[in-house]
Amino acid sequence: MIDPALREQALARFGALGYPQRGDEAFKYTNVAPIAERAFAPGEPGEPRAATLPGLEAAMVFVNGHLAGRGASPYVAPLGAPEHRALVQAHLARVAAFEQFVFCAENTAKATDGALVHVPAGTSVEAPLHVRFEARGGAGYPRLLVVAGANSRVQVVEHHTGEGEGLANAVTEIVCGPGASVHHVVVQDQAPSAFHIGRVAVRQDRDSRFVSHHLTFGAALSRTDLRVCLDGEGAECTLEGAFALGGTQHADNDTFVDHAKPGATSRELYKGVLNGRSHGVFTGRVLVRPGATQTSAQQSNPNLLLSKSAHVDTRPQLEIHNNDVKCTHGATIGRLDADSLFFLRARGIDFVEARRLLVAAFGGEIAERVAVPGLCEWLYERIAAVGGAQ
Amino acid sequence: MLEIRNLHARVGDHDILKGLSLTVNPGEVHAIMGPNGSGKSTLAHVLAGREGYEITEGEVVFEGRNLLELAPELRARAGVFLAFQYPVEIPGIGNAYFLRTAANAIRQARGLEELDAADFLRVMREKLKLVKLDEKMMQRSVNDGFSGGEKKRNEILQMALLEPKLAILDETDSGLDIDALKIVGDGVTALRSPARSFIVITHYQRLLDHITPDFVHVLYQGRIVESGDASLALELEKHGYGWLEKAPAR
Repeated sequence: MIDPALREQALARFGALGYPQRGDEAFKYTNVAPIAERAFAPGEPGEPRAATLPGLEAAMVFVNGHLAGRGASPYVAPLGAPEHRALVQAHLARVAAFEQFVFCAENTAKATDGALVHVPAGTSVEAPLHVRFEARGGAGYPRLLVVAGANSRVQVVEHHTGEGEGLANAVTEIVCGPGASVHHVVVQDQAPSAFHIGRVAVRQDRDSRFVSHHLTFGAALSRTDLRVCLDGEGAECTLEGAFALGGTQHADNDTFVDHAKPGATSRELYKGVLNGRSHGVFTGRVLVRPGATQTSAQQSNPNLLLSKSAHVDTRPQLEIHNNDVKCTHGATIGRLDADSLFFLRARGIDFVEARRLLVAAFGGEIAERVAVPGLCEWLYERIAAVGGAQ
Repeated sequence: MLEIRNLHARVGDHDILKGLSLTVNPGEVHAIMGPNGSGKSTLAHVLAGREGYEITEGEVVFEGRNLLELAPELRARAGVFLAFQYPVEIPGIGNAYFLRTAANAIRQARGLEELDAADFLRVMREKLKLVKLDEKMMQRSVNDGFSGGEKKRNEILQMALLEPKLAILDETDSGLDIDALKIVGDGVTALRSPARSFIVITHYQRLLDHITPDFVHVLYQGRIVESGDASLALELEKHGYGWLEKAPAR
């Protein structure tokens, strides 16, 4: 599946880089020492047993990164399938370069199986393609490659779930051909004591459209990097996410939009809802290169804290290297509106239910825009549930 | 039904209610009038349970229960309803969904079966006629983008759906044009019953053209300084509140 020479390089980089230490700017608010300390052994293969997300059928299921089941979709194949060798070689580990990223290097060195979503040029895939990755303890290295041909159209829903205490270190690469439209959804719903590391790397050709919805509910500690390179004129991306946390959860969402070519547009909206003693982190880096004139970039990260001990760190980072750009960004950290809460309670709605409604009102729009009937409602309730917790 | 005895309330170190007493019996409509700053809205908020007020003296008994001990939602379930002077906008919560959630919370407290979406729709349509609101507005977020008049009519709609025992209208007439005033007034009048009482808080007499009160009280500097029948409201309309300054509170 992965070329042995590439694996060697990745393993060497993994060794040379080592896990992020204190003082690493990219991990300023996230301490990954608990992952390093546990030194998870590779997870065993197993039978699938997690529930499928509402509104979807799984095209492929992995357990601890091992292929464990597949449906009938003609657009989804194992990464190692001989008939797709050339396509995989052309893109795998090229969109998600691992030289600087230790977790990505580790995944590239250790991934056992993976899924390839390939959509031929001009093809519109109607039903969402769904891939589920189950973690069962130990370390798993989920790997997904999406190659959308010119003017094709596809929605891919990635679900990370599981049981026990383990590590999922996932890498997804997405290639959007000229004029292609890709809607990528990630539902991170790992077990409460699990660890999750994810990297989604996207390369967009001219006039392509990429929409991402990233929903973080699970894991004790998670870190997700989303990197989009707008590598063609007129490319557009919309990156939306919600992290709904409670207890002592820690979730770090790091996004990077690289405006490499002129006339591209990026819009970003991440909403955080935090209860208990949870800690959320959002980093939104936008790079506008010297040649990327007529760039439009928007970024917004509103956060809602439901308890005194919940905490969020948000940092927009704009690096703009030409003057012909329109960039806006805003981040807020707020609490529930006391007037709204009183209004609902004065109508007989109890405090917890009123809070649940207000949390849904705040974060629900992200769930609604996932645009999969059944799944949207489920996600909406999951976000609301953070407000409904006692 | 409601007995307010010697109520003192303050915000921070500012005394607002300074010994207010009032008795409301079932079916009665009491108008409370007074100049700005006399404590009218504070009274409404204290009765509904808004945070931020400190009760330093006195008591409020509603149907034998100490109202001041109850959380706002428990007061609502006991049958107290406040029509807000400034209804809040809540983008992201559908009006119909909000109304059904509220109606079912109240129904549950009264031991009634919850209404499903279809049953609720039937009830809501009936009540919408009363306040002349378009059903389409129920699909929008709570008060989101509603005009001032529409917000107040939405308050009366909530009152009609929740069927309180005691409704407190906090300056429901403020910001209303003549047509909206009539709709609100007629809506309230239609909800009058021998078992339901009203406290109508208002600065002006004009709402009382549509809702004829049994009693009119003048609130001044945190105390009721004058009580009378509906004719007192007309007197106030004619003479204003200036005379209060010359005749200090009893």
